[in-house]
Amino acid sequence: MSNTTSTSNSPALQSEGPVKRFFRATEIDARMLGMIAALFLIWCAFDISSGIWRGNFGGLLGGSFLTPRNLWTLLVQTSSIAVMSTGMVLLIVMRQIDLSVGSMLSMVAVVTAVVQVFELSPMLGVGHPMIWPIAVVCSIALGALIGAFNGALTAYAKIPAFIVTLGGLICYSGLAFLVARGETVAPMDKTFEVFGGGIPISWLGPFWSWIIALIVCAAIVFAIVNGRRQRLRFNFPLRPVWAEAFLAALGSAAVLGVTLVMNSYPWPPKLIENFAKANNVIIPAGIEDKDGSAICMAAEKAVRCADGLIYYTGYSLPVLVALAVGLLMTFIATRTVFGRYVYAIGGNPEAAELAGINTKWMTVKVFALMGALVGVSSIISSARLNAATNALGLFNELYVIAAAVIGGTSLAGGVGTIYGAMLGALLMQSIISGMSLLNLPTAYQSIVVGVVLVLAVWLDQLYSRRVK
Amino acid sequence: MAKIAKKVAKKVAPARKAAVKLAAPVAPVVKRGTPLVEMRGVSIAFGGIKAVDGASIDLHPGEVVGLLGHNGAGKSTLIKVLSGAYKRDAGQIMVEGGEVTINNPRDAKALGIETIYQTLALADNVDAAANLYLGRELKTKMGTLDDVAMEAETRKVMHRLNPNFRRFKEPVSKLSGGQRQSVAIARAIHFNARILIMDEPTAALGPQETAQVGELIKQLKAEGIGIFLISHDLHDVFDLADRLVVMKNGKVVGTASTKDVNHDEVLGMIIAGKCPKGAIPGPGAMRDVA
Amino acid sequence: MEVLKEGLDSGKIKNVCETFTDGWKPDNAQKNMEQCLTSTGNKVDAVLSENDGMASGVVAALTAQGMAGIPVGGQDGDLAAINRVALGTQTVSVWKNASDLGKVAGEAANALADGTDMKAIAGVAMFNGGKNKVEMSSILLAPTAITKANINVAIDAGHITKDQACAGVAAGAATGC
Repeated sequence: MSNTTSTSNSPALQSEGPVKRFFRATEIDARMLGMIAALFLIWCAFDISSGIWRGNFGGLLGGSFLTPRNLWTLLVQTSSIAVMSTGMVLLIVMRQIDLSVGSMLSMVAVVTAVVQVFELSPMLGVGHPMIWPIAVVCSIALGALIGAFNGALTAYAKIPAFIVTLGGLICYSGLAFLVARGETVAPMDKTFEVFGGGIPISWLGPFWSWIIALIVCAAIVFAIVNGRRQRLRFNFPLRPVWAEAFLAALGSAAVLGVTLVMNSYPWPPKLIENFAKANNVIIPAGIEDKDGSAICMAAEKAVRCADGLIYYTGYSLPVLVALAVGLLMTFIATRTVFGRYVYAIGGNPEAAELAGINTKWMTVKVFALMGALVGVSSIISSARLNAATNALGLFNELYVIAAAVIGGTSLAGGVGTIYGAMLGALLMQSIISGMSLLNLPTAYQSIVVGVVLVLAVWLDQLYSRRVK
Repeated sequence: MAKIAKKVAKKVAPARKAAVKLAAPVAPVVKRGTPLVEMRGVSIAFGGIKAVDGASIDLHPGEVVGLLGHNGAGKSTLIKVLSGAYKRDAGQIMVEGGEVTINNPRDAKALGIETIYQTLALADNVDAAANLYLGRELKTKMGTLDDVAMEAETRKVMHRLNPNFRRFKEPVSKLSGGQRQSVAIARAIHFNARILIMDEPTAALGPQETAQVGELIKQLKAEGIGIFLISHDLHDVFDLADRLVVMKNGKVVGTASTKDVNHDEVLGMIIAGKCPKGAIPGPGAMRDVA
Repeated sequence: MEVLKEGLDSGKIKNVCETFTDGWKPDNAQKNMEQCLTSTGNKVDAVLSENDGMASGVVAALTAQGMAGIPVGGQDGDLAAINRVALGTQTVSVWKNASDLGKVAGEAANALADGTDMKAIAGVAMFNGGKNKVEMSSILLAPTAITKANINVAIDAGHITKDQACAGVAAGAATGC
């Protein structure tokens, strides 16, 4: 970048190279760009190496990582941590921290599972339509309550959040063990399971996936046009039109691209077969083909084939939930008074207090929000596993904090973005899933994730020093 | 929006009245009538140490009162009681003759008491507009932040204070000391303050900017705003203040019109607690002048 | 693994994925299983899990691929696992009856307290199959392999209620249900 800026030959003009001008005009966060680049590099490396060691399964570079199936699974695997990381960003921005989210997740999941399996199912009957809404409300409310309790101890009893939540980490996992008596509580309600994304009814299918994608694209264009109109209202300087158009195109392309990948992952053949049989869908006759994802009838047997009955998954519910949470939290962080206060408190707690902000109550609210998000994650995790155990959220706090930090959240407070944390979660899960794809032992995964965390912060510091 | 407008109108009305009162020729040095704000016998202790001990001060509309004293004399603490940052242990606060309760900064702001703190009290990670409106953000019809409107207002008020200011999009941590100071001042005067507290407002400024602040104080004074000016620069106080109050060890040594005392006498008050003839002694004055 | 060694050596059985699951966590087992299935194109015929908790993750991953029903082995006799065995999504759960264990241990303790010689207690045999081949007096209880054919054993032992074991299971689909 420095080369392009220094080669400008006209000192009379504002000597600004095209690259720099591009970034200034579009206001694209160069940090985020770096992260996305790193993400793609990691993905490519895993695709190539998985191709060499584990065989070609249709990946873009001859492996199994850059396949719709793996990317689809990756997003599902990321969703629980990603949801919690959005709350952690606000907490860390406000100079607080919550070490107890993992234990809290275990506890909320176990309590909800016990309510579902041992209370509601016998009382209302297995599969009663009221079971899942009660379970969902119970999870989120319980999470918010525990979060508010953490927050109240921090704000009003003035115990440092680190200590409060360290105690919570130990205590809530003990409570979870007591409630579950150390056992797996299963199975979940059939409708509740939808939130895990493991069963066909939790998949949106291509049609609705495209509809949602188009709505989001329209929203992006609307936001850009509206922003421009707002600035025109006061005659403020505007972005160049090409930059606005570029941003709209880039955003839409990203949304459509992800949707395309989601829509290219076919149902597993066995599930197509089960579905066809259950719904009396006629399976066409055809010739067996080992690599096909569709199914057809060869004699009396359903086999895999290239041309035949096929369904595509589209977005799965947990991924949609995570994306919706991300959007909502971004809105809260950037467009509401609540978000403004969170950042102001993080920038200077004393100044915020002197400006008349009730910082204590804000602390309670942000902790409660974190707790509610833990509730959402516990729904995703336990529905996905179709069971809850007291080990479900173990170590999650580490990954949630790491995701926020990799995503550029500063532990000094005041700085951090929601999308950064979600990208951080995706980056981390990419490494874990990729190494798992190579059948590398878990120990190596931990080593690499730890190194990446430290490396990310180091690179970030180098970058910000250069910018200054 | 309507709610804000009403609030503002409520605050503006008494200030206008005060301005009319001021129009009378040659304001007397020791003012009669109801003071704008009066603190009576205010005490506050931290961990058994009395930071402020039975201090009484008052301020009239359109008057500048300088508060003087050593570091730790209690002047900043006394003023923080008024701005709501500290809660007093004893004493009364009256605004326009009526007793008020100030338990937090919100209470003080609702009474039209604005403060420019020595530390500036800016959130460094957000921009000038966010700081200016911190705690009283403008909202759109949908209830979201109206950043554009806030930026527009900020541009207006900053133009008045610091015409060269252009960096509206940057976090205030990137601004110079003078620019940061003007953001803090803009915040205090933008919401139609009746009572302004300035704690060392020129500490971070160069000579030119200091002069600018002096002009601003005179302008605000003419608008009928009462100002407490905390400074340890005697020249500043003699230039700008109508009266001065000297504090020592948490107690008021004395109050005097700036016309009735000279620099040396004031220094004597600050250092030794000696109260000269031209001043009205307070509880902190030395009894026997040897 | 010892049992499988012969098959592995002769190439009849191929170990496609083997991993230690971080913290024995079921959700990690699920992720590992998902990645294993992705990296092998679902060419997995059976799964061995070191406990029933992780088996629940394995079964969840298999279910998402419509593969539930392939042989899955776990151990501990978790209530949820016995239910899965009855449902047919898990093949076997190796169960060590804790009541029997406690009973035999208690009786042995009583006998020892009464002064009975260690080697004279009923059922004691010498065991030297440990890592360091140290010989010691032991009472070895045979673990029960719970399969669809003997769900009733766990129910009869009071380890699990019939309701729990047979939740969602068609009557008669498993012995005891």
